[in-house]
Amino acid sequence: MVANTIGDRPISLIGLDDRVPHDLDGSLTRSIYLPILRDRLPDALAIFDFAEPSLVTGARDKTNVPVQALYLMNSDFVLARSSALAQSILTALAQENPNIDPSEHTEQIVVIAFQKCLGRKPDRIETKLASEYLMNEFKTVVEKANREAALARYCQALFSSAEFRNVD
Amino acid sequence: MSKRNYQNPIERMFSRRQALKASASGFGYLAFSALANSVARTEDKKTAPHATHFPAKAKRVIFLCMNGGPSHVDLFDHKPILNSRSGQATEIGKDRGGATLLGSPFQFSQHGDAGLWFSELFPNLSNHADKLCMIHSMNTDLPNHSQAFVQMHTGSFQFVRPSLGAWTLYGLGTENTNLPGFITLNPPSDNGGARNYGSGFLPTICQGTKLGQQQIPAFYAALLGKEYDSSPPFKNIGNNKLSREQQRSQLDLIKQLNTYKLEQEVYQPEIEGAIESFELAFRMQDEVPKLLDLSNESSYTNQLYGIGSGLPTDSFGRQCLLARRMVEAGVRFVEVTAPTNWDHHFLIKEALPKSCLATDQPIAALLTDLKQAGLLEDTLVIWAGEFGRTPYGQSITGRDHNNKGYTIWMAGGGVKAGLAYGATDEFGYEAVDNPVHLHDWHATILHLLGFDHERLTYNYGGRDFRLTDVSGNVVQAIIA
Repeated sequence: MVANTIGDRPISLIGLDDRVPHDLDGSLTRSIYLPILRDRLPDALAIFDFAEPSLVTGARDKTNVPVQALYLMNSDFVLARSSALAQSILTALAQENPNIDPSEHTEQIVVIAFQKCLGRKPDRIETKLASEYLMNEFKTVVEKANREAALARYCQALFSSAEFRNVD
Repeated sequence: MSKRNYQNPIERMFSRRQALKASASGFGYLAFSALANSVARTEDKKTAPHATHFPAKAKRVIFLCMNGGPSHVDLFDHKPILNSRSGQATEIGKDRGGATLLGSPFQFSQHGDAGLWFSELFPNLSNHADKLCMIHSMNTDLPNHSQAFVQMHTGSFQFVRPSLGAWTLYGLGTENTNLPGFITLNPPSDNGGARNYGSGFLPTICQGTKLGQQQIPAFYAALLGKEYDSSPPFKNIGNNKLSREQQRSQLDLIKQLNTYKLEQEVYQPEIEGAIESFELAFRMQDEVPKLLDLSNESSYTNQLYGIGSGLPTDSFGRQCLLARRMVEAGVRFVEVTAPTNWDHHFLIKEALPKSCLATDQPIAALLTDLKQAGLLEDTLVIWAGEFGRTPYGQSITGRDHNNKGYTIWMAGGGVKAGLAYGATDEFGYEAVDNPVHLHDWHATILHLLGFDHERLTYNYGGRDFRLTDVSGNVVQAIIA
């Protein structure tokens, strides 16, 4: 499952002056628009069982291995997308009240995050788990920027969850 | 099965499973899910060390994969008749563009007490002649790269099947739970790519972990004027944004979310796998960088393997050294793909020595190193390509693919040392004496690891599958 576009993103076309796109891994286009180089798949696709381009594939593999976990935990792409999601959540929150303090509205944050990521509202237990995590993380940071980083870690956790990865 | 709030407009998005369930399957689905769930829950713990069918020497495997098909008639299979008739027309291979015999331009000599033949291109390896078990009569089904490569790894070119490494890990389990049990170093992205290291229907933890994937194949690199990085480090092994503690609490949250979801859904085997793989990944972050860090190796070791900036043996030397470190650390199956391609359709006289130069010293060093560390006895070292090369010429200066007869060798791990087994015809085209088919080779490897290849099976789709499928005879003669 490719963790791509969250929120509104313009669909950018790959520049044609570069025969090989500069950074397939960092591309913000939907994967359906990406060129598929037979021997050079972007990590996000290759690691998550994209069909092998040089062979006929009846059904794709469904693997679950540490390299995928490492990609979700450490790759630049996922970290950047988590920051972006955190940013968009804080923006959504601030739309109603520009001076809102995120650390006092963790439950609302959790609801927005679940809706954006998983397409549903969290139930009581999930809200409790997640907002406890957030309150803990917020407690340890003081500056606004670090609060965004803390929220980004939470967004990354959502991206890494089984529910996000496995299409129901 | 899962609790959702359907009042909210967003909530009314049905999951596809729910839609199918509600509209079509009803009670049938409920029954199935109960059955499937019970199957999932009774699967035993996948990678704890297992007992073998019978005692065996080999406890781990290092597979040196010579991608492209090395020319056996120029390396190990001495064919004086081919040389004497070089340039003459021949019937063999006429339908595939061949017709003129091409002798080997390289000098052959015998080495060791066993008198194994080596060409001049492997001077270091020939010093280890008495350790090697050479099989000159290998043969396989197809002369095409993708199919032959995949078949060498999985036993089948038509279907997606678990790889040799996955079967090994499935059979033996792993000793070090902080590292993957099956690692593939510098795997090619073509020739089937991930399929060669996949676990097929076996538990996914048996899958090979790739290190140093060739990012841009040499051809593209040359075309685009970009760097061809043949052994980049392990990607994504760490990041500088999260501290270990932050990562640990993040992982705990992921685990809580996943575990909660597992309780909600009746059948979700991927979730358990997901939890497992995150935990292993977390541990790997500490252990893998230590393993990959070669900076503390002695200068003796670096010289032995030919490691040094700018040396032609540097790349493969590092990989072989890593392989030794990995098996020492408890990795069960390490596959190393040589950073040189052996597919010499053209100018073989110039190109083959280059490939040998890059690999000869590191392989010899690996054998020396394993012996010194006392590991060679129970480590099975395999050197093999997907096929060999034709005794007739192609494009005048090269050789085409030859699947009917080629050479591989094995060392350590219970094979007879200093043995040349089987033979091809007088030209080196076809295996005639004690032919060893790919399935026979696989059966023998499993035997060396302590498994009856007919009994190491996995039930999938209603039938018991095995690496050798419905074929394969163990070659008893090469077992010590």
